[in-house]
Amino acid sequence: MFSEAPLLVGLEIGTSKICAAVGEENDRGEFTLLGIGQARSRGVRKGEIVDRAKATEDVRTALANAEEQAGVTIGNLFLGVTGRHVEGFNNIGMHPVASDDRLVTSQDIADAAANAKAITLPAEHTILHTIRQRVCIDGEEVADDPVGMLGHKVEAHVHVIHGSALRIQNPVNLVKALSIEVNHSVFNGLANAQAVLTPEDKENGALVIDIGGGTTEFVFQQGQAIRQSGVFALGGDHISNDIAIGLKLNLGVAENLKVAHGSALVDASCHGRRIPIGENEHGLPGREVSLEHLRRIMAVRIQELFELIAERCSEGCFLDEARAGVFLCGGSAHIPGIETLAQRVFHLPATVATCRNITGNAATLAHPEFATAIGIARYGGMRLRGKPRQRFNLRDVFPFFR
Amino acid sequence: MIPNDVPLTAPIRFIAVGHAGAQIIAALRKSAPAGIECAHADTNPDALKASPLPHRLMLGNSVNHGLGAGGDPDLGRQSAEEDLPVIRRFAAGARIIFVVAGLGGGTGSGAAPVVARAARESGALVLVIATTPFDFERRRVTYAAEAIERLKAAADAVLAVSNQRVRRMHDDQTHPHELYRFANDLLAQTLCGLWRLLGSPGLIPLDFGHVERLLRGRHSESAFAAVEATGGNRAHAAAEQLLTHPFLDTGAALGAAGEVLLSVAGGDDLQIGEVERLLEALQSGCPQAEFIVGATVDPALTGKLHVTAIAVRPGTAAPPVAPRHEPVSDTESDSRLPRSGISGSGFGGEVFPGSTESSAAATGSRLVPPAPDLNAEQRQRVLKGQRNKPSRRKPDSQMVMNFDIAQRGRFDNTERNRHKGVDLDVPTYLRLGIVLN
Repeated sequence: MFSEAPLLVGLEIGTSKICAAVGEENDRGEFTLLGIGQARSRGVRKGEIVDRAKATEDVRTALANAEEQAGVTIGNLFLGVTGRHVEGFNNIGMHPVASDDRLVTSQDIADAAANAKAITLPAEHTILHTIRQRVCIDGEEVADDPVGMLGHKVEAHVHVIHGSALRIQNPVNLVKALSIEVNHSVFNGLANAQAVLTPEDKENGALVIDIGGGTTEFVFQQGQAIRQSGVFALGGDHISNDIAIGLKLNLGVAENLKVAHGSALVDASCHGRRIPIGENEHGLPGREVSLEHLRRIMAVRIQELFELIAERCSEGCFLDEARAGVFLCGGSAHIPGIETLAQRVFHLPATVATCRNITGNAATLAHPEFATAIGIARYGGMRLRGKPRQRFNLRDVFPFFR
Repeated sequence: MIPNDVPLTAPIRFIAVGHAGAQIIAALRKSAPAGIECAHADTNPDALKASPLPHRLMLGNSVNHGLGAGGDPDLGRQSAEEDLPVIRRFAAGARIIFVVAGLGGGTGSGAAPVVARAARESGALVLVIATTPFDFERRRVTYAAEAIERLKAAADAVLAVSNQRVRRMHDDQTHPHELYRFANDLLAQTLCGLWRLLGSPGLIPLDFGHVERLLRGRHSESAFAAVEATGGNRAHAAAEQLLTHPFLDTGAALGAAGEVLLSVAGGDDLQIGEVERLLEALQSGCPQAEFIVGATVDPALTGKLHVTAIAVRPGTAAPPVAPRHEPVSDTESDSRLPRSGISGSGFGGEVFPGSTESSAAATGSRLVPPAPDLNAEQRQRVLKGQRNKPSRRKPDSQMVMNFDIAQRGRFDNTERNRHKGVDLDVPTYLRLGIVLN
């Protein structure tokens, strides 16, 4: 039990399922997945807890599953955060070089980054992550570590991810009530990028989109920098809900229909086809619905979601720079044809992502919906490796990427 | 007619037509500070006797013999025509007249357009606030739709709120009284806000000219609502209320608006920061809209923030401002009437002056003679005759207000998922208007 490597546990409290990933990291930073525990989520809407009692029960089940599968006891974990309140934006902090000889010190850079963090957030919001994009000295972009160079003014370009303090605290309290320590909260989008991108993908630039049950997180990563990130409170639930309203079905039937016959594309083959939706409670044959309508409803919703993301990403950066393409994960990545639709909207290659650079059960790693939990655990490993942190270390300011 | 003894001085007056109108005005009098001038116009003398309003205008006693309109709009119309001078006397000298009516019955549907027309002819800007019946009241719905068409022709602006929409905001167990009271209070609040906006001297003044410019010719393309909030975070609370207000299509009207006229009223504790926060919150909800802001201070409102919003859709340019007409006396307007072909023919009459449009254009007057009342067959005939004439405005330029509360299904009770004025929880295909058949 007291193994040398600390146990890394990532917990994602999602809208449709709660997922806990247990893993460990060796001293070379290689991550091994030991087990996954999951439970159906009943107390969460749009990524946020609405029924505490049910959510607590489900979290307990998921953690117990994970403990059983991995054969460990979970004492602390890293917790994923999402929800409509989480937002990412880019900011620039400036600081004049203080010393007489105009030699840039690590203090100058830290100050510039601190200035970039000193922003007016919406009331009661708190910063989740600050990620360095690049450092400029007198307007010129410089290498990763500019300490020792000469200049008048240091500029730190950062990406700040913030969210409502109270709503971030909610799930933390829930987990603490189970006598489990929460090491740190992680934005789900960042975790996804950790799980599904190889270093090469990151270098080329990649857009990771996680379409979950109630929320969709996206992160545009290029090199070590996050160019854009955010959350839309839209997900698979919305697709099911649209189908339920559009085809006048109840939500459960709509959900089943989505899984069995859904597609993100409306092609000629589905024209005129009708699907029976089972017998009714009297044993009589039920109604039929048009396959074309089903897929049309799904396609416009997913396309709109992609367009919203494309619109947000094109604020301040160019999507073309995501040369590695679009990586889709989350439960809705199972929808057939979704990568083709993504390709059309983003004009980039798109794939359904799998967890990479991770050893473990291959079947589990191939599931796009486990990416978040695994990514959170992985982020935990990177964070723990970062310790102990020195006060003026760049890592302190940019804890996430080093 | 029941005589009015109190002299009329206020520039803004209210005329309630029929029972429903009187109920709304009564609710308004409860919430508004004293001093609003209002009259109850009705065809039923019994209803007038019981009326809580100070001025009472008896309509058509000689036509209906004291029996009321009996649910027949034609009778309601005739009654109002009969007593036009009574209405004009009340309207004379007013700058703005609110006509408040519940459409669907005989008095509301029949008399309200005539009242609005008479008020407009006496030189006032006429805003009509009307309720339309529940969907199950089939015949009344037809009457109401007809009445709205007539009101659009007769008044400067029409706001119609469907009872059905109010109904959807309540569950099945709601008592009907509760429902009506809720609807009346909502309307009264809106009216009170408009009255305050137009009537009180402004801190940041917003006068009648703004409202007139915004509303002229827009009719039901404009939607207005008023909300009231208290407490520390009242600016945000008020913005949230507005962005989800049923009269504003649960905020969609604001999102689609080109111009929003916003009147903020508060007590002595009104802070500029609050106005700023309110605007920020609203602007994030409707990025395209141009805001015109006015603020008034009323010591009675201390601790409260009262916000009235008028949202106007973009695209329809207001016609150039015509010189305002001085209020005309009874005799003058009487002499004008036959020329513009309004009276004389009566409602069952067959006469329809074809020169209405051109005479209005020639005079350049804001007082465009209203569309004459025709039955369906006559209208068909007239339209046929006009088919080849160039029409002054596109036939489909008149937007119809969407009375449906958008469907959100599973997300009905969750926080609104607003993005640039659109509620993303509403199915995309509905918002895109994709028809499934």
